[in-house]
Amino acid sequence: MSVILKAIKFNHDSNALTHDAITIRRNKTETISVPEWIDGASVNAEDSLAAYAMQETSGQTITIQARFHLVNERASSFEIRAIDANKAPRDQGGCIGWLIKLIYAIIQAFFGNVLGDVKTRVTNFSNNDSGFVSFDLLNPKIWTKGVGVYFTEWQWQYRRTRKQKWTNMQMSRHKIYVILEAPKSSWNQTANSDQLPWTEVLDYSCNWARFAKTRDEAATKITESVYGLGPATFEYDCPGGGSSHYASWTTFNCTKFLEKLKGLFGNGKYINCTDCATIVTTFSNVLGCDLWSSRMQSSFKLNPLLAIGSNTWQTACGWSGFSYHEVAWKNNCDANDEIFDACLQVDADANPTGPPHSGMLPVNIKFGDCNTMDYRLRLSPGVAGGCTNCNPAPATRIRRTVL
Amino acid sequence: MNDQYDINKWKGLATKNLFIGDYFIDKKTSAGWYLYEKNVSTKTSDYLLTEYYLQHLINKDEAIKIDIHECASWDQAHALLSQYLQVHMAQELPRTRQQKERLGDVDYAGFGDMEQHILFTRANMLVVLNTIGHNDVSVRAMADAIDTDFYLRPLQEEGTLSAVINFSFSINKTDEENILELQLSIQDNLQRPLWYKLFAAGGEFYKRNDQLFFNSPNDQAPKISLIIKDEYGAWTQKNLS
Repeated sequence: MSVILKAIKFNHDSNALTHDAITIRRNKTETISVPEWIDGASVNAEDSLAAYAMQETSGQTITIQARFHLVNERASSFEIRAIDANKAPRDQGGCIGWLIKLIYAIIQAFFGNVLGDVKTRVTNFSNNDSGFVSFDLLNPKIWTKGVGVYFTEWQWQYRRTRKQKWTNMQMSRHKIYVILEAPKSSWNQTANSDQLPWTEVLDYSCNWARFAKTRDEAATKITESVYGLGPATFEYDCPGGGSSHYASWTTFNCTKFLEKLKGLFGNGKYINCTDCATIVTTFSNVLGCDLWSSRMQSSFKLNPLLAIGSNTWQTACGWSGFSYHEVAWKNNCDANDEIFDACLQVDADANPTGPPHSGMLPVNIKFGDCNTMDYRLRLSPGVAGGCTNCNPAPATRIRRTVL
Repeated sequence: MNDQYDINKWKGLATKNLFIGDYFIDKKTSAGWYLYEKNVSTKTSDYLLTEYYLQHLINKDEAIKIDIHECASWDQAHALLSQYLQVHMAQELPRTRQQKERLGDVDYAGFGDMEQHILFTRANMLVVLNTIGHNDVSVRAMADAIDTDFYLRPLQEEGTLSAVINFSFSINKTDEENILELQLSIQDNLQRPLWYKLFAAGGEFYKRNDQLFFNSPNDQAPKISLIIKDEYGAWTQKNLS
């Protein structure tokens, strides 16, 4: 006789994200169906994907739903649970034991189970089928670990009565994304939308912003990671005059960007400020940040800067100035709002107009005015045709549709 | 916004007596390159965009992306070019390098010795080319090949394609003076893709609400030539006077 786990639903209520997983898809063309885990079809963790929002689930009991079949069994009721299959190794003592414990702790911190265990419940069967039954998660660590990609491996067990020992049934493996809060536009939670969060984007966002617990922390890490893609993967488009290659007026070709990250051609290695602003906005907002891509303009002189992928301090590509510049921006995208710029480093010292240069990636720094040494004056000098021409243009703020 | 470009100066450069429709890059034009992806976007009110991704057949780390915008008229192509130039962070792009034949009606390139980024219009077409491979490559030769495809008129009267083409053409007067409505239908008997270009001795072609018109320079019957090409570059020419 045996009890067989047939399927698991993580996103069992697509209208809510307070007590279950959010609605996601793999990419532009591939959806993720519910139940996310199916007996026989789901073998590796990659075959069973789910994402949870820290803020919305905070203080809530998270539930999953699972379905079981009975084979050659007369009883109609069982206790069922799942425990973490990767419990801490037994202490072997000595240096090796200490080392094993350390390695285990590191792996657990980076990738370990965040869902905890599945709480025991009595499950009733009718015609050998339980239907989908709700289970509470026991001791989830979603809120303590922060943003990340984690792996859960559950050993499912059953017993007829409390006096009996637990009997193992299948193991189920799951890849779990933890995000800060409900994704912001252009991402949505609309059924069947191609703007549902893509796990191919979460793979990068959750790794780049690993362990972040606030919007600012996540956006900062994303900005640093995008800038860090130069020069190996991307560089500023000097040969093309600073043209956009991944972002257009209203859309972001995220599919091509992901291709490039995977070592394919994508739309090439050259990017500009609009691309960078759009990437930061899109990859931050999928985690629940609330950024916009917005411009400052127009035709303004520059201080020496370090463009993405470059190791030379100069006005971008040696040009005298920018026709415009675009960054990821908070709130109203105006002078008093903070920006995140993954396109360039500015000079952080008291005199950004000349050497020596002290590089600073602008993250969560106020745009500012032409009197105070905020982002604006570090980017553009306080001379005619400089800072005073570099005006925030909040009317241009946009969240580009992901393609 | 970038106001370095004087769109009014472009007007005098436009090839107004040429109209290109249903264009695609044929195998002859892309010789030496492998087309690994082609995306035709949803037609907007302004233009139809087709993206081509090509990888060099021998130097496999070289790839180029070509965006071909089929606009309703030459001035719409100019307006779109202006929009494109405004999403360049450089304050002003240079023209393409001068060669034997000038590229397009209006042309701009990126910086540096190698022309890795080119934008040009010819009649109602706007083309944007970029190097996208792991190794940089000039896109000038491809730009020249596409432009030649646009403007070149065959010397012979009749090509090899005529036997398999069904086509009908009519010219109708409209209420507007010197404005003629052109009805054109072209079909390959074997359902293979075809594109066409219309030449006139003078005047101006344009589309309005998907209807093709010709603004004749005078009240005489216009002399219009139609050239139809297939995916292998085979062509046929018809005089529609």
